[in-house]
Amino acid sequence: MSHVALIELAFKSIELMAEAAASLGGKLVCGQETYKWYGMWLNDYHANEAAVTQGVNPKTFGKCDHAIVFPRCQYEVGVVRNKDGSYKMIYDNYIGGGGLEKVCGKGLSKLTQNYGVKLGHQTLKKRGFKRKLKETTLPDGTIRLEALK
Amino acid sequence: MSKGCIIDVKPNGEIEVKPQGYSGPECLKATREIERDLGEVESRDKTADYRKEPEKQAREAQA
Repeated sequence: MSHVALIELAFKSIELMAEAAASLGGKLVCGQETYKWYGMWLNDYHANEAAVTQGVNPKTFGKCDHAIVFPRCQYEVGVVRNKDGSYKMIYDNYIGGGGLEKVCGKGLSKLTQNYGVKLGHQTLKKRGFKRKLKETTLPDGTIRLEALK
Repeated sequence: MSKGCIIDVKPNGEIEVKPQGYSGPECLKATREIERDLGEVESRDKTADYRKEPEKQAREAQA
């Protein structure tokens, strides 16, 4: 192995996002332009991971291009299209996101990782790494995909 | 050695791509498209093999 590239995952595929949501029991609703949240911005949360801190205008809270709905969760995940065509996921994390964090992990980590795994499988096949494709979970929770050309 | 690729998807969503069986700059070329498909490269660390393999090949070519 001669180099290791660290990559920030980009959400570009709605289809894979739907698959990742489905693997956790959720459903991506295409064209749903609002997502459920507390409903009112109280200007009381400015942590690093807060949407406001990351440049999201509070006036747009609750608005999205698509939404991901999980049964028994009070709130929903909004899927918002960026100017470059990629997407970001947004949710209200107050009291665990109304159950979302229990299903999707804090910061939607499980949903993000599932998307990454599905994208990884797709990419390996697309780029010709189709032999002996193997998926294993490492002790730290990392999911490893390996394949040969 | 067979040419392969390892993709590690971390619990925080970060991804590491590790080409296998490539030597030197060839590995960068081999995985550039994969990296582009997955997202934006934050960093790229060359391992000792990156320098070792081309040197070995050069020595073999001279012999």
